[in-house]
Amino acid sequence: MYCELCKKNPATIHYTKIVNGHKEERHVCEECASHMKEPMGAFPTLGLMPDFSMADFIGGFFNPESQSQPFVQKNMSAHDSCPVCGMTAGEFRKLGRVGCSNCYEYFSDYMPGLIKRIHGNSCHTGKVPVRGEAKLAEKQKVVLLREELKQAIQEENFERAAQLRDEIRTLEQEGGQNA
Amino acid sequence: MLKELVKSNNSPWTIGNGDDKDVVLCTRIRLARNFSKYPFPLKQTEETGQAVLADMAAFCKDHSNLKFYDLQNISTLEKQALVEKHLISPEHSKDDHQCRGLAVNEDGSISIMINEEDHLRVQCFAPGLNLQDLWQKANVLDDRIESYFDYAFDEKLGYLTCCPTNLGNGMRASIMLHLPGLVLTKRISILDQLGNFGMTVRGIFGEGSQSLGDVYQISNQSAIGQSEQDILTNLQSVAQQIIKEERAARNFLKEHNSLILSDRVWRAYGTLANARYMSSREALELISLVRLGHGLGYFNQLTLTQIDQMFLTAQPGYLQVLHGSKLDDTARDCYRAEKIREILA
Repeated sequence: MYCELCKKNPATIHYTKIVNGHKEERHVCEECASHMKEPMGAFPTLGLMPDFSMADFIGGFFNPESQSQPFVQKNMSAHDSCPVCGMTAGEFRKLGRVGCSNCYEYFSDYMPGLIKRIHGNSCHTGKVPVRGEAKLAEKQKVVLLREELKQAIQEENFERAAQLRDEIRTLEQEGGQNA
Repeated sequence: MLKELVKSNNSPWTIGNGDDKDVVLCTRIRLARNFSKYPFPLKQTEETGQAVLADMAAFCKDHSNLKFYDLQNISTLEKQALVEKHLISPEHSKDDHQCRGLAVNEDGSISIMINEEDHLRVQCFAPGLNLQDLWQKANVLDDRIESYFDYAFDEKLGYLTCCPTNLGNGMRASIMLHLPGLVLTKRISILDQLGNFGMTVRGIFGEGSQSLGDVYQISNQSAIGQSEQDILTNLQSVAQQIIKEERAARNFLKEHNSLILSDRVWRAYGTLANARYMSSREALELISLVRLGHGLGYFNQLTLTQIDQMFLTAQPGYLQVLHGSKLDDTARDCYRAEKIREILA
């Protein structure tokens, strides 16, 4: 039997692909198999594995057929859609992506678990847009200082801890006055 | 200007200077940003898509160092070359109807992809290992853009992006590393450990996970819960560790396998300098050996710039842009060999 791809070399690799119950047999030569994707060590057929898809992976968390749905906290029908861009829960499940900023609000009960799972500590601590966000920057600073404070206490560095506590207090008081 | 930029053999990674240039080809920082007033490209209409392009075209008018292009007017071949130069993503080179745009500066060290997955993907490049300066540059540019447009931002989630994996500061910092020493000494598997440090690794040349030319890219995985500075510091120290390992591997090879190594390096050089017909894969493998030899001081005349220009010339899209028209496989392999010989002449 000849390789079904190059039709020149004898087919030495035979495998069966089953997708959604549909069975498909393939017969290829080693060279073609190695070109299909990178062969991995002594298992050239591993190269035939489909690419990993982040979208499918994320969408999979919301698949209604999956046994456990640790990330879904609100039941949404596939047709529920974001009022701003029209992204439906079904599309979101499939694409693993959102359609507009409002989607984060609309799907919020759907997502906190997911975001935590992807990102670990799920609160932004980096750069903040300059426009009208000075207060936010201060809030973030307090979050960071609190972390540092925890660390200092753990390390029994009480001098530093006291310093940090005062700093946090000052910032919080200022924040209160500005609000 | 774009035609010259596409054709030029000067790319941030072919300039031949920068810190740790023997191992690091180039550094890139990319920021994902969206305007608050439009839906993301995924849910864009023709009208809102064009509005984003028009906004950025206006921004470029006020900033003469940046030139704006509607990618609809750029040929498929040129787009392929832009991908090979890392100025746009493969996704962004698609001939679909997503109102795709590009803003670049003259030397290609700044490239803003417009209407890719997010409204903006602001990218800055620098040769060698250069995270801090590059972050400064990207940060200033980001502030400039933000002074024109409101960004989609949430206090808790950070910059809002189309894919939830990019939430947070929306920053991805990447370092392109040439690691033939680790590959030849079969220690490249140390890169598998980088996941534990919040880093991802992928090949640069070739498709999917396949790495040709022993060039790998490491970048941060997550952008939320960590400040930009923390991510950069982390990435910098991981990169330095890899650089150290790579140099140790190279020196080991030189000390203990000197004859075999120098033979392979010089054979590679000989083939590159004389071949009449060469596939992209073969070229990348040989150039990698020559680059390794250069790092170990085997060549007096040959410069890193020449070597990295060969890396670029080996790419099919760039090669055909140089030629000025599409070539069939055989003609392309002949032309590749010819252009590489020219560089080494």
